[in-house]
Amino acid sequence: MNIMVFDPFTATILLTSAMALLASIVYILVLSIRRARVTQIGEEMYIGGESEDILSLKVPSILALYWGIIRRSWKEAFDILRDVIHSGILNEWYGYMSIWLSFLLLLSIIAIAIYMYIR
Amino acid sequence: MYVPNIVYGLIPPMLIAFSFITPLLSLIIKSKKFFVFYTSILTLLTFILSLFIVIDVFREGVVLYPFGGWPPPIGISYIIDKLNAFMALIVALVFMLSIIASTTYLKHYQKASTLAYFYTIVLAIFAGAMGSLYTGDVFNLFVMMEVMCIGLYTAVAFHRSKAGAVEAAIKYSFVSIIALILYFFAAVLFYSGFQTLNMADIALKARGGVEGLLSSGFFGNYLIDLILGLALTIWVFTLESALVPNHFWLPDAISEAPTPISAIFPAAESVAIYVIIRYMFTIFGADSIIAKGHIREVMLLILLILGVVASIVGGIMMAIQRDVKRLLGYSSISHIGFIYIAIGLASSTNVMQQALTASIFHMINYVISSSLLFLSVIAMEKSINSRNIDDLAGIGRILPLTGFSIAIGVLNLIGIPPLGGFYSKFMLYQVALEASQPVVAIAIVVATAITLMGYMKLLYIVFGKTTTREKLKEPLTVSIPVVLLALICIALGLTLTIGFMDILKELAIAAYNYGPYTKVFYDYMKMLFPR
Amino acid sequence: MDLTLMLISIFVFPGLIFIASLALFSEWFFRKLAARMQNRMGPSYTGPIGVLQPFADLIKLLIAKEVKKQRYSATAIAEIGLIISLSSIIVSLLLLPISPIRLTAPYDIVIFIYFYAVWHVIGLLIAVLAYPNPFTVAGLSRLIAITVVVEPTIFAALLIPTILTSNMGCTPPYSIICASTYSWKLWLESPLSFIAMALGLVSMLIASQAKLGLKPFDIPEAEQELIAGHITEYSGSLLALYNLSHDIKLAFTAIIITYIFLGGPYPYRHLSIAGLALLILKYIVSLTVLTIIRASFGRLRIDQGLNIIMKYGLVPSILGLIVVIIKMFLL
Repeated sequence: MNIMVFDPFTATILLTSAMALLASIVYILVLSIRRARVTQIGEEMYIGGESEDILSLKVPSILALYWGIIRRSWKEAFDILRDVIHSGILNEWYGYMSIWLSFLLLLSIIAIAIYMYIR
Repeated sequence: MYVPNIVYGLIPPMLIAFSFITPLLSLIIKSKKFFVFYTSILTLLTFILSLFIVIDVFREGVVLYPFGGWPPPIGISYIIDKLNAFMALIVALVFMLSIIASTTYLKHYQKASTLAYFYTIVLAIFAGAMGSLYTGDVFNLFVMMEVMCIGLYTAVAFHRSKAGAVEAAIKYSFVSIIALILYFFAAVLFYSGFQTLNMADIALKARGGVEGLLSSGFFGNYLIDLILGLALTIWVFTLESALVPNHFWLPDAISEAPTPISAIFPAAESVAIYVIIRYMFTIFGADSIIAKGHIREVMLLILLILGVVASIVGGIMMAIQRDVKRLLGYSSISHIGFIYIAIGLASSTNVMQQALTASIFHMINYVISSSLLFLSVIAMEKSINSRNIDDLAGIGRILPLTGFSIAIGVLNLIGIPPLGGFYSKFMLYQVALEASQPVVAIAIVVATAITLMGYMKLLYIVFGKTTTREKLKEPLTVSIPVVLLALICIALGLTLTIGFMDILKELAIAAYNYGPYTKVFYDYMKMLFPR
Repeated sequence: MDLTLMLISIFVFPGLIFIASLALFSEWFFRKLAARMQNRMGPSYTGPIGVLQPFADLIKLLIAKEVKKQRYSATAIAEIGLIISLSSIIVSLLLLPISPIRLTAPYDIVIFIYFYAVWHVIGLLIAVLAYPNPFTVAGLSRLIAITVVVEPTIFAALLIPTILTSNMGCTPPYSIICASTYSWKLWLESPLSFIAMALGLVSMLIASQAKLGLKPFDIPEAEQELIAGHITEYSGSLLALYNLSHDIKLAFTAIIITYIFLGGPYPYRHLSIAGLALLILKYIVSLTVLTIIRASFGRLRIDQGLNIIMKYGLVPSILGLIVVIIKMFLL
């Protein structure tokens, strides 16, 4: 059992080249073992009882992707972030930015007070 | 000592001069091809000049270029060290490739004056960005940032007939103009306290070494001026680099701007992040007067917390977008959060070099990958005339070179070995664990996992195929820059062990090691005014 | 660096052949135990007690069944994606103490996570997107949703023994080798480390159950509401590759839990009788626990599943990390 210590960047390159080598050998193996190939029957989409020329949207819209997270599990977080904070109204953005600016100025005034009057 | 070559100070004045000539030329010359060639050759020349500057600085050390021969601190000077020069090289590369790709974007405009208008704006932004990177003077930084930002406001409003673009430009310009006025006030405060505007001079004085300087001594209680000025500067440059909560303008501006300008926005933000690194580590570093009493540590800790919030908020907002450019805008906010996490972790001195290396490398990865993704959007927009991800799905299989580059860019932003994005994230984890903050490491993992939701939508563009479309012709002026940037992404990861890691470590040392930066200024001043 | 030893490690032990046979054995064990718990027979006829059943399934799918091509699909991309997800797990075995050639680096726990969790998911993503279909896309979105919550849990759970062993004087700091070699001591060292390791083990079990797609977190896969989720369109050699990668993931997760949390064969050496027996016993125990949880629960809905993973997986691992911080840096 020999332990070979590398620096992390060399170790990553070694592991990635090992992965590429393994992937190519397995691909060649699978290509040579596989016997019966592809058939063309049933090639069109047939979903919900409708064939392809009636289906208008063949895959779900991108908005419907993360239903479980956006509408149920993290619903409050998304609602607050989307409607309250990133609302698009410039005055509210000014409010948030001024909060950060006044916090920085408050911090500097406290630091000045400490430097001037406590030293 | 020598007065350095004129090459060092040539780039911003040359670009501004040619930017002013362009509208006059458009009155005389009516051919579109002329403006395309003119701007491309100009930006290629700038890129070659910045390459020469980088090679020179890496060979000879820090260079000080006084404008017009006026010695600092009386005149304006450019102080170019390794950090400056390398970042200017990356910014010049991104600008050059965006301008080459903008040929396709502007192909359907018939009048040459529209192209002249566009190229005037782009050359002004370019001049401002290069000037802000090279300068060594506090007030000159204000002037160059104004030039860059005024160009950016006008560029966002390029499509004048669309209400969204005008609204985004109004919001961005209102916020940014107020911010730059506050920075002007901060420059006034610095001048009044330190009696000088030169960055190297302030760096020497902030560490208490005042003998022999031309602008001798301080005026009044300079500590008040210093702390207030630094607080204002941090607010202004976190707004220019879109850190939460100053990030609200970025998704609107980046999605409504013309797409070559959107590809330039990451470079513009990296200029603002560079300014923050300069202020917090070179000028007011770990051994300056401001570090006593822990005020500097508190400011860096606040930047760390805001960086964590930014990376998570950007990731969450990315998951609900349906417009490609808005999604990339929120991904920019997330990555800027990661860069600020690295900057904030650099306050503990045992990891300062590694943290600064991580932040600079992450900045390079972010600029190159984001520009790559925006430039590929140009090819897709031109084919379909829509920015909706539903309409764009499957384009990657029809335009194969663009699809390959989008895949490489997205994998680089997720951070997969062996691309460069993995190594910068790895250095972030290493710094977080070594600085005894495993909770920050968990926050980085949470943010990376959340952004996976949004990046999957981009991979949907490359791999998912929804309709059978005919093969489209790939525009050559977009494919070549995009494939070049993808190859640079791969090379950033593979050349790390060969020698690139040493270059990055030297960049990080140049950021916090103020010795060579101030020595060149001190020697030059001593030579001219021996006292 | 010994090239032949490296090639043997990648392909023979513990590379392709060893882990594939271990994976097929684990699938048989899992199916037989779940069947006996549910009063069924399980695999019984192929080979003695049905041990060769998964192997027979694999050969049947590879040789006898055909690959269905859809109008919008790209079969080559699907094969490449599945092979990437398979080889990324096999390659991360090189970092564990089970391989004769051990690559170590400081902080290689991050490299381990990125190969095991990120490359695997990206490979699966590429493979699923190659067959666009409403069912596969819906299954893929649920897979990504679960990955978003499971990955930080696994990272935090794996960090717990790594940080706890970082001051024991092991040469590459924060590496898997250190965590595996000394983790048997961590259970006995002090009450705080016992609490942290227990929390880590619980959250790792829940996260593994979710990552492997076993009930009650069966959500992306075989589901009546989504026909078969993200593997709807697979058949023939694609389904064979998917089943093989699924089983390899099962065996690999059991190996990780054995080495990093339960202590592996240490303090005995790998090749001694006591060490081997301890190793096999701990492996069977972790497989049994995963099977018992699988056989006792029904399937959860996606938001219920996410809530339970966050409550019982993410929160204990972060609590364990806080206990580790208190022990290491404040006491």
